[in-house]
Amino acid sequence: MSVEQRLRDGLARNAEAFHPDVEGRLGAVRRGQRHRSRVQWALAGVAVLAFLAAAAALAPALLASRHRGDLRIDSTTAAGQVLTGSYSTTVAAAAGVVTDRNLSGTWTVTWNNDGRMGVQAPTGYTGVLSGALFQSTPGAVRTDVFGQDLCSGLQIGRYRWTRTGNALMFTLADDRCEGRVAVLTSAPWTRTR
Amino acid sequence: MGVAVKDRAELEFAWLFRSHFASIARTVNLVVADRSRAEDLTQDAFVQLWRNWATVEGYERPDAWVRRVAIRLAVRAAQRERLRPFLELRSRRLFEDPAPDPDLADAIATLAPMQRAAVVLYYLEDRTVADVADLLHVSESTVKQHLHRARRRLAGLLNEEVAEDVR
Repeated sequence: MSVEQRLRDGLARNAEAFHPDVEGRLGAVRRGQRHRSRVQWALAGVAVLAFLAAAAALAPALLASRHRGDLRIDSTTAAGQVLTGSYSTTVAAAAGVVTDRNLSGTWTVTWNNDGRMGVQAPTGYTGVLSGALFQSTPGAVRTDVFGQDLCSGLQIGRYRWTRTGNALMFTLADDRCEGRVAVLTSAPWTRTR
Repeated sequence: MGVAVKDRAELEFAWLFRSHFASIARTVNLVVADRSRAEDLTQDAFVQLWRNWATVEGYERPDAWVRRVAIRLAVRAAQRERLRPFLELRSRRLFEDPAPDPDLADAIATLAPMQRAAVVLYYLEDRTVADVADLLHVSESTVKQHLHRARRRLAGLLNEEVAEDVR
């Protein structure tokens, strides 16, 4: 194996083995916190102990005001409340990206309330699908699904959506990723649960 | 800033954060070889993003802005880390789950920080030499030199062959 191939394979595998605490870090950034050095952590520990002692006496008042001044974002308000449920579609074999990237077959996507997408791909597709996110409003959705390989380096996709009964239909608003466009828009999606 | 505008800004920021934090932290981790540190540095970059959100929000690629900041923070951190005793760094990594390709991780850790960053951006993120040069704020010829030296060194450490492929 060439060192170049080892680098491409090995770096990708090593990178994917790391699962950062995204929500925890978002919480810290909401509070405007930079990370702390060890000394700062030690000082912070002392401060926390003092705070806990004070909080025990002032708990009701602190609880009432704890969110004041924070960024008021959480996963339940970050959208996903409009477009929810599991839907399946079948992408028909076709020349171009569908064949080149093994996209044909049945796809199932679960749109969760917390803005995360669960994606089940046809057996022929071997790309990374974990960690996909979406944000929806009535009639519009944007998503980074396939962002780790099929659409790597491209902006998130923006689509319009309509739902009639159990049928869900996406139409392209703005997306330069041909593969994502093919999966989402080539056929209507049917609700599975 | 009005309440509605602030709420929208917060939603947009959270969306960008959730979309890109993990990816950026993974790249940073390969430069600093320390997962906790990688999260810290990436968090710092996003704090800078939030502080500059009113301006950066209008850019075509706010994610590119924060990625650039994170990578530069990572290179500077890696340069400082090289001054630390090797054993201290190794012992800290013992508490982390091993990488799937530990030999490659160890070999990468022996590279100079700029070489590490160039290799990661070129081979992991599949960027062109021009992109890497722009991100690292150096010339394209410097990037090619970093990649050339890194490949030679890694090939020796990993017993692999070198096939030139710089674009």
